[in-house]
Amino acid sequence: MNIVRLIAKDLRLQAYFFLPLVALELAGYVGYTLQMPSHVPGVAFGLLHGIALIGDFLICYRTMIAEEKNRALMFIKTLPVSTAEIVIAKFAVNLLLVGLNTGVLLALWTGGQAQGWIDQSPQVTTSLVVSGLTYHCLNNAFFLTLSLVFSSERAVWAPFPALFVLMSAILNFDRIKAALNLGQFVGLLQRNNFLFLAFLWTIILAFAVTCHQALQRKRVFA
Amino acid sequence: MSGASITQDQLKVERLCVRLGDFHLRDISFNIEPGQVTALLGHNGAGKTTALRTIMGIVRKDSGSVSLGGFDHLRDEKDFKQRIGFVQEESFFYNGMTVAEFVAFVSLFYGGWNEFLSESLLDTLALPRDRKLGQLSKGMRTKVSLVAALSHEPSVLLLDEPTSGLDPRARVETLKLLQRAAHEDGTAVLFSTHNLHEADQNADRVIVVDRGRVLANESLSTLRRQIGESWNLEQYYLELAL
Repeated sequence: MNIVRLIAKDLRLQAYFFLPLVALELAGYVGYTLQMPSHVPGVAFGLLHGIALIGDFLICYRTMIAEEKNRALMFIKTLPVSTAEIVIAKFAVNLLLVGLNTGVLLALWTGGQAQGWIDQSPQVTTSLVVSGLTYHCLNNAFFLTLSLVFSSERAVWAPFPALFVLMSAILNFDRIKAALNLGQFVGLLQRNNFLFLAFLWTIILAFAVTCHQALQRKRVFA
Repeated sequence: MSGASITQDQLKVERLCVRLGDFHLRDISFNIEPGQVTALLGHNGAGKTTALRTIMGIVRKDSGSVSLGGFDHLRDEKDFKQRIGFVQEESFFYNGMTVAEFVAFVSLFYGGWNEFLSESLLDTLALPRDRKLGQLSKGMRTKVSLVAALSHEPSVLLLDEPTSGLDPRARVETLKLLQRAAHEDGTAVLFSTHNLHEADQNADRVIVVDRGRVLANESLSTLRRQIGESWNLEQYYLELAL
């Protein structure tokens, strides 16, 4: 029950933030598509997701910064609430808001296609929705883990080196795969999208477990 | 309060050790008795806040134990915290919530929340229910914090410099509340302070800490009896801590 109470508190505090965020994302999307030649299939859709990725970061920032600024996370710790409940609630509310954000954007995309305002592919399918949602949740979980383990002030610098590491990993993926002998595992994930998504959700879960362990070991809970 | 429950609800701190950078809290031990107001005295950086935060599980201890009514502060974290009220020196709040929303939010976490007491404290302390926490003065925030800490009728009330930065009226009101909680409701109250006069006037017992060690843990009435008319807490404290 404590988890539900903490989620409800965050949702109430973020209610006034969510709609302006979606409006900002849409304005950004429309602004960019008007400037870009979007005849290449997938560009507009990729752009929409790119903007939503920034939204994932902002959702994390909003749900963490208010707690950190007033050191309210420390206050929560003085209530009869366990560290696990604090972490689960924080992840749950972030996943909920990210899901809602992704859902609203995809619904608007589909609606735009139905109205003939957007003549771009792809058509939104269940598989695409689940995949998109997973990528956004993973992206958000990464930021959330950083801000829970360190602090938002420090965590804000992490995406830059993280992006560099990620790009290096993508560029050297074949070499990494060979060095770690991951050929069979990667092949399996490439052939089965469900397994691949399950793998990504395992990473999200691992992020949550890492947060719990790190908070338990922190000298000062804040 | 019965004798059995008095023994049960004693806060026991035993051989508590904490290392935070260069600062060490060394072998801190004390008991906080029900129905008594205990003042935790010490210079800035003596270890008062660290001791209180360690009891609440905010600062991680290296060794030692803290228990209340048989509940360990880490192993039985929730049971322990159901029985304890904590007021921090700085107000850690949600500025976007109103006083009423905040109190309602906190009430959800306590099984023994006393709605009547909560409402009566809000009235007694003249707290504006519809005002956002971000718009309140430090004194008012401390009062809100007190309402949140007292309304579940805790066995133990811990307060970190509750009167620091308060105007005289708010200070008197806060200290009266502590006295009432201890002497009328049987709550064990532990508050840290720099103000020796305040401690002398309001505490039944003093614990003096310095450089992470407990230098003294004495009943003020015993000290007054022993020292007689020349009793002076300031002198006693300075002799110990300098």
